[in-house]
Amino acid sequence: MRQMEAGRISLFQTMCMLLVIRLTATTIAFPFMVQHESPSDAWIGAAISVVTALIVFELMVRLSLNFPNMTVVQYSQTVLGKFLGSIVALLLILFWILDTAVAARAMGNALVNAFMPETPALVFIIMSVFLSANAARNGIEIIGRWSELVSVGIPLTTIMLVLPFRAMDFQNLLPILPYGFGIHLKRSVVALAIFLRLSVLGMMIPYVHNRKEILRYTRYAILISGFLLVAQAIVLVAIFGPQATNSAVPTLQLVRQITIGEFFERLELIPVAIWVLITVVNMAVFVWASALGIAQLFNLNRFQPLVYPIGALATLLSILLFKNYLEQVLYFKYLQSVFVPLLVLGVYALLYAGFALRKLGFNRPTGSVTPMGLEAEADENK
Amino acid sequence: MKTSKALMYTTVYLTVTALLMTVATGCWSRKEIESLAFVTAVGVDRSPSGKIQMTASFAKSGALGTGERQTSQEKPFWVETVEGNTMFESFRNLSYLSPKRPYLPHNDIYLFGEELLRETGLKPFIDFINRQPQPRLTARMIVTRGATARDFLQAEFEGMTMPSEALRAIINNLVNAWGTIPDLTIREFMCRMESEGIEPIAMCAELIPLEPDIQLEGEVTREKVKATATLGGTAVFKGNYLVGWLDNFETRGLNWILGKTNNTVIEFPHPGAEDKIASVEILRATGKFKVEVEDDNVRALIEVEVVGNIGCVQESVDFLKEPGLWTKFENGVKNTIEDEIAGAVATLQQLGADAVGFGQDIFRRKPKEWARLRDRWDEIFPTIEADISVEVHLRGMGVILKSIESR
Repeated sequence: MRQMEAGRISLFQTMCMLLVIRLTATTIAFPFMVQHESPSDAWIGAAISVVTALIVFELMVRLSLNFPNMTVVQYSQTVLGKFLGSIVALLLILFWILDTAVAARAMGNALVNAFMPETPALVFIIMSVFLSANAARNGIEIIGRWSELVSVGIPLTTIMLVLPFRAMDFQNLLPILPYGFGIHLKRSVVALAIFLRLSVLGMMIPYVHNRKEILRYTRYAILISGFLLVAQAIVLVAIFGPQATNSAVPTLQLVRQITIGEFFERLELIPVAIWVLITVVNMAVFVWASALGIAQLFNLNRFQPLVYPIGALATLLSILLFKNYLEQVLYFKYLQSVFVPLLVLGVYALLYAGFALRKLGFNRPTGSVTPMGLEAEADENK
Repeated sequence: MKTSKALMYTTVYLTVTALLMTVATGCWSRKEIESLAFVTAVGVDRSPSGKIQMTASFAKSGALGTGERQTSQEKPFWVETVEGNTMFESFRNLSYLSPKRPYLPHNDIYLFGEELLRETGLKPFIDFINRQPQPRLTARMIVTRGATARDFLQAEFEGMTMPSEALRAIINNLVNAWGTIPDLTIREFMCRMESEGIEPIAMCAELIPLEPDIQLEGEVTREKVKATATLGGTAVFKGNYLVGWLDNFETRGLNWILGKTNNTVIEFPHPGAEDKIASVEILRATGKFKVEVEDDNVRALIEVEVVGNIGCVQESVDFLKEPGLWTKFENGVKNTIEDEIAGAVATLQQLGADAVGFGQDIFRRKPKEWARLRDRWDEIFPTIEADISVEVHLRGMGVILKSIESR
């Protein structure tokens, strides 16, 4: 069977894509901090979510590496059988399309809220989704290279977190655990839900060049983005105190606090550029993954024709999902933190269960599956 | 067949791209700089009819001279006053009077009239500053004592033509050379407002009416300066409302505790001569405090350490002959600083507003104790005893060794 996606990406590009996907939520709306009950030690929850994400992705990637030449959509069918596997794969695909819409809307809303109140968010959404769909149409290689360029946003974000140093008061980080540990466990799920966007990695692994190392680079991506998450939680509280939980566009507020020598200020352009760039790459990956996923699910020859319809669907969804900004915030705070972990973790739990059963010898799979350990992947060294 | 299809794709592609490009230029919410009136200071009062009275000072860009020679003698700003029910409406109402669209992001100063804050509180006004994307949280907040913000914005300053710039320069002077003003932005104000166990404070300003028949020398074609203003002191809030003031030296006392005083001048009775005064320049200061809780007994331990030079003396001293005086000078400084700190704490206790953040310190270090004391903090705060310990290191005595003696 000829390969639908002929591109190959490097490990570094994979890491960049993962970083960019995780960072969209951190730099734009930062739902983790919204209405946090205990802002002073909020970073604890962020740190917990990083640890959880490390564990979850360790398992996810290990599972995927058992089927080195298959995307998650393909091996879900070999593991769980045609019917259940298809449903599971479809769920993941729908989640990616939904998240494209959510990312688009979050960016559009942020631009509208902060800069151009008269412009409909739709304008920004159409432009950026169109761009993403174009990239997705050209395959993962293009997105990979692009993400390398865009990942410049990561050092920039770090600098933005350091520059307002004059406004920081680290005393604001006290007290630690005034309201107990439970709050942070609950909160960490909000951040974990966003980490689970990286489940799109399941689609990318077959196209990664030196696949053995992918586990290491996934860990790097989670650690770097997790570091930024924790750092941002700390910096926001150090600057805004209890007000940190109250901002719709925290990075922008943060950058506005930068005044160095009375002239080095008004750098808002930088976060806005980062927002748009990383959101576009983020959506490109999701559109690519869902188009490829659908094509593989329904045994199509090409995934390219699906790219624009999915883009259009995401655009429509992004407008229909939330009536107003309030709904978006509530989605991030309540809905997403419940249904995304349920869905993604549920799907992977099923996959793992199926895989374990097969490995134990129940119902040996037909076809090309060779469920073995990590060392099993022998081909594909090019 | 194939080429025509490719051609069609290309056409569609180019058309869509071109269409999107027209949007991408950002013409939708554009604001041309010529059509904007830059607001440099906003004053808020209560109007006689009970509404909000907003006064905005706009920069008149044409009259802002550059370089040594002023291009014109015109005032480089103009002031408009409007009324409204909310801050947002009032700000929009400025459009009735201003041909250019009022533009807030470059505003550095928010002035609030004393009467307004005592009676209405700050909440209805600060929401606008916090919520809207235009205002900046790095701006300063000033409360005008005994005057309306409107009068205040009519004040002018010699040496700097823009009142907002002049105000900012005076603030910088006071922060760097006196420490008699609380150095905080609106962001820090809001941070204090929402934090546990600390009350917000703001800068205080007073109006100085000038004699109407003041003589202005030289070629002055513009209006005479009718009033000018002075800053210094602290407006103390309790929650939402303005409750009182700290004068300049009490403010410095507060700044000693918070470690925010840098360079300043301290005067104290001359240790070597009756009825004479000596002054010392403080170069650096560090201040910190710790709060100890024992049941309902709360003690604050305040530690301040300063380094300074002899500034000037009214009666000559010769430290080479009497080295013991050096310690006496240090003690003089110590006593003065202690008095200032005690004065600040006493006034705050009288006002019942914990502007130092003793409660915040308990909340931060002993959250459980705070949970117990929190509801009774208003009763406990006035009873707090402050242990003040000040350490003074005098280093230098200027470029001479002893004062001039008269024969």
